[in-house]
Amino acid sequence: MKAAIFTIDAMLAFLLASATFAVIAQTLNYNSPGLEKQNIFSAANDLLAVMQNDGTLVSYASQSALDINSDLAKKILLLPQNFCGNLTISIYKYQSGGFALQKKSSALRNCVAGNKTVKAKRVFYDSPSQQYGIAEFEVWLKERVEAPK
Amino acid sequence: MRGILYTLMTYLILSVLLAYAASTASAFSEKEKLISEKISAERIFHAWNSVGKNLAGLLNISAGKTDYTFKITDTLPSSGDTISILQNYETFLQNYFSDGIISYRFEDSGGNKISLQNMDSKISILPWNINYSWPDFGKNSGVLESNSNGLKFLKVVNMTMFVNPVIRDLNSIAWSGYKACDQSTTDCLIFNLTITDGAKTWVSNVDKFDLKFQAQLKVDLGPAGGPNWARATVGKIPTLINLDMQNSNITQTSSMVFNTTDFFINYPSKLNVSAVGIKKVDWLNG
Repeated sequence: MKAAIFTIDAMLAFLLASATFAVIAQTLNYNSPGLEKQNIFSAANDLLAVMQNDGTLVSYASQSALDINSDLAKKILLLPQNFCGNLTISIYKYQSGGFALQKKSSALRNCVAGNKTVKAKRVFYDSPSQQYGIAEFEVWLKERVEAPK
Repeated sequence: MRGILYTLMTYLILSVLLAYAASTASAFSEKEKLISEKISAERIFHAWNSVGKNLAGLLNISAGKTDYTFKITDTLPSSGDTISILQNYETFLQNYFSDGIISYRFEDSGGNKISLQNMDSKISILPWNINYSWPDFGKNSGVLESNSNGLKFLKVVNMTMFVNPVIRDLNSIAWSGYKACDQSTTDCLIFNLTITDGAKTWVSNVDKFDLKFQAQLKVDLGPAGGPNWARATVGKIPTLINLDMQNSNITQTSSMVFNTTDFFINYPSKLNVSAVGIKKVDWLNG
């Protein structure tokens, strides 16, 4: 009788141990949400940094909204395949005591929207036209779609 | 007896697994915290960089360092209201760039908050404190200054002055007070000057200026009898080169070649970008 109780107790403990082990195994396979966020945040920032450093952002001040749209559409394709994004340029001029929006252009690489979006921003100024601009890049990962079995 | 043995062994295994689970959970949480801090640091760095990048444009200059050379292009006098432009830039940052997570402030050397338009109107080449400055942001003159120590690192200044209106008479352009460097000279500036209006060009035939003396040339511009002129003055140390004008514009492009690459360009304001628990404070630089 005593042996049976010990055995049942041992089996229960073993089940508990197995459950713990399963949780650990799950944790090891778990994708870090922070790491995913960091990757997409870096990609967004890097693209905007390049656009600022090579003068692209400032050059938008003297281009039409249509031309900017077409350039943004090319830029957004530089993102890796599994990234989605919305790249927006807003250009303002200070007049009559406030900032008036001169033009706003955007390009969207749309795919199944994920819930982990990050936004990178850059500010720029065009000296000849005295216009101030903001570049915003919202990026998220394409949702993983399970292949049909 | 066997039951007790099984139980003890199972409890032992369970304890090891629990300890491992606790350690894994702790490492995972630490990693997430580290990543979160890295994202914050990246956010701060990019924000600092983006805000600082615009300063040359706001001052309507182009300035940059390549290896041994610092190159600057500047137009005198200022074509726009630089003070308003700087003021508006700060307002723009507050209204459109700040997102509630990151805060920005411009600071003086003591860490006190300043408005951008109140910073000194100069650019410094460090570590020698060679300054290119204006009396104010109206830029009615532009002066390059250095002490004897800084001058030792400056090999040559090549300057082109683009003047407007046009040069009246090329033949009337000449240095006065020029003294060439000789063996007794302690402070010598090698300065190559070209003046052009786009059609007519004058090139200085002297280039070794003894800075104990002051050399000057005045270029009359526009129609005869008009009040337009541009002037370049070299010396006396600590003044290396002083440009000024009347009823005229000068766009000067200077290449200053140093005998070392170990120098950097600072604007006279620090930029402090901070979020909770992390910040980057540094001189705005070119």
